[in-house]
Amino acid sequence: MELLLHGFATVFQPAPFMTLVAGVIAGITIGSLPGLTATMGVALLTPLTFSFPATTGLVMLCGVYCGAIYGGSISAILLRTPGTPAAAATVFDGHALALKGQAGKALGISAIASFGGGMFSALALSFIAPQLAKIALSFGSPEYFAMGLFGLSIVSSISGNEVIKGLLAAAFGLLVSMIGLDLLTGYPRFAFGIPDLLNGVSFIPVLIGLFAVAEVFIAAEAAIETAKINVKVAGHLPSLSEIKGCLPTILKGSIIGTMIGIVPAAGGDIAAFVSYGIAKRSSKDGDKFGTGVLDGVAAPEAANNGVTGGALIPLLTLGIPGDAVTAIFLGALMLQGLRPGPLLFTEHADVVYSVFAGMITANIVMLFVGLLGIRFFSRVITIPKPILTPIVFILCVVGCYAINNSMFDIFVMMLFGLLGYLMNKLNFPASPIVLALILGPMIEGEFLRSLLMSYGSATIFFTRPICLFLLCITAISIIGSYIAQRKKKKPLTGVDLSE
Amino acid sequence: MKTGNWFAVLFFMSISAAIWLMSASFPPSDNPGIPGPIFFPRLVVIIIVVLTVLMAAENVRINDKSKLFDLANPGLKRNLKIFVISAIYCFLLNYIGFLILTPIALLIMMLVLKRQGLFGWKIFSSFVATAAIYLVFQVLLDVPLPTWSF
Repeated sequence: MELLLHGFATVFQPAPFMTLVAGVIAGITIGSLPGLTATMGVALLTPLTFSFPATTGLVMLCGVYCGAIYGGSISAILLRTPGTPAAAATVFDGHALALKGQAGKALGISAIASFGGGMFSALALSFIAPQLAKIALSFGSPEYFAMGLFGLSIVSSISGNEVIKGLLAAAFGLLVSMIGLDLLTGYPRFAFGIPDLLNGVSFIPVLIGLFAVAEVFIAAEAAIETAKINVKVAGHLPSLSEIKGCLPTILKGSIIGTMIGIVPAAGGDIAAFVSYGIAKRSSKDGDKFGTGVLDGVAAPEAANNGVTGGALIPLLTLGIPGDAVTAIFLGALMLQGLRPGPLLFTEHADVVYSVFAGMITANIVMLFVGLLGIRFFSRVITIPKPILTPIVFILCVVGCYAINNSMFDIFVMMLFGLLGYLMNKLNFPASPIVLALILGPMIEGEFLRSLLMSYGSATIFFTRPICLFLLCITAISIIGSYIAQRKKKKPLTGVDLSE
Repeated sequence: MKTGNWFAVLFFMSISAAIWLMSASFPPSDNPGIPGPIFFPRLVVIIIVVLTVLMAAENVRINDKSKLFDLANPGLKRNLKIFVISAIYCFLLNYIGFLILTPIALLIMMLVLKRQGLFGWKIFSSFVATAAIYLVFQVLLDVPLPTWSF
């Protein structure tokens, strides 16, 4: 508790607090713009944090993350287009309310439910993560190797219907992670005599390329909307009795979101749909869902923001990013010279508890900014794509350049931007490359250290219970996802087995 | 999609062969029983080959014959133009500098994305965006941006 209070003292200093508020505003803006996702927002703003002290930079990203997930609901309600995938379930009742002239109520309850979900998960993060980190302190190199493999096996879950493509993308990411000096011998692998490659491929240009530049190319190819967008925030904010009526739904959504967030690979979109489904089934007015009820907005919004804190638990305690946003968070931590995992809680407790305090504060700021800025953010979503897309590209270039002042990083970004675009065309998921790029050196390093510990005997991986357990669930995760995908795909591919 | 998948199969097979051949020159490990720098690249290559074979086997059974790229599609043409402009921008940035090159590149990209209308807006936003990015990075964060170097 004392450490958490110390974290608040750090966050409420002028510079961190200002960057947090700026992060929330930037996050809501990015999230509200269809096509700009939370992942892209965090990826774009990560280079900015490099010039800040660790706590200032990380609390800003907390603000961006929370803000962007909430921001997705604004265009979902007003335009019937979710700003982020996590806001897809908000469209059903949110837009129906807007059509009834109650957009103000929908946006208001969305901000309040997002605050509720985010706050619940931030508190869960603050109290669960330190306990889990204590358990993880007993882990050695074999357990970390197995944990890294398990983290990578998440790829099979986040690849949707394309498990093989996801695994191929992860394998490609592993190859990219091997560029540079070998961990034990110092031999340069695949560096082709290029000095910039000796330290490996920097992951920030890869992230920006895959998640932001690729989106720019996709947006450029998509039809440019010529119709003028009219958004009107009609009606008042929800009344106290209406908010009170939604509280049980918000609480349920918060719990669902936090639990789903802790499970690696299950993101805000899944949480929102699960929460919406449960709210619909458990409501007396379940048949009215979809026609514009406040509970139908509160349920998905509480859940998708509930994911934010939950997703940071495995990242901070075990160093395992569960999805693309937390993978970028991992990158941001490493950019500051911090290695997530249980040792982070003992060696850099000040930073960890500042992140906890930052998450809690970001949700409070998000509530105020969200409620007060409803009309402003509803104007932001009218910015025409032909004007916005080129600006996003320039931000990518400048953000990438800002890290090392290196033109080489910009070329890496362009290369991965093109690769990301082609991957999108071929239905290859991009997140596995990032996960593999970040986890690859950890897996290889811990594997070699384990073998050094056992004088070259591979039995070390099968004689330690936790390691063996993790290896088993890794195998189950990959094989299970592949079998599930095959079962699901058969009717879709139009394959006639009788042929 | 089917053709695209075959390209992906070809890409992964080629990359696997290249990595296998390149890693042949890696030195052995100094520690007995501990794998050298060759071990992980070759392990990943084997995994890629197995997965690629699985993907090829699945692809044989797919009936989707939609085109990966349709050159008649105006969206693709627009995208190619944007890619060329952005590549030229990245190449020239270090020579011409951020402040001169960025508003020009922004304006050209905006015009490519939508030819008609909003011309005043496009000029205005390209200059305002350049100034805002310069202000945040160069002035507030003290991040040096490329300048004219001829």
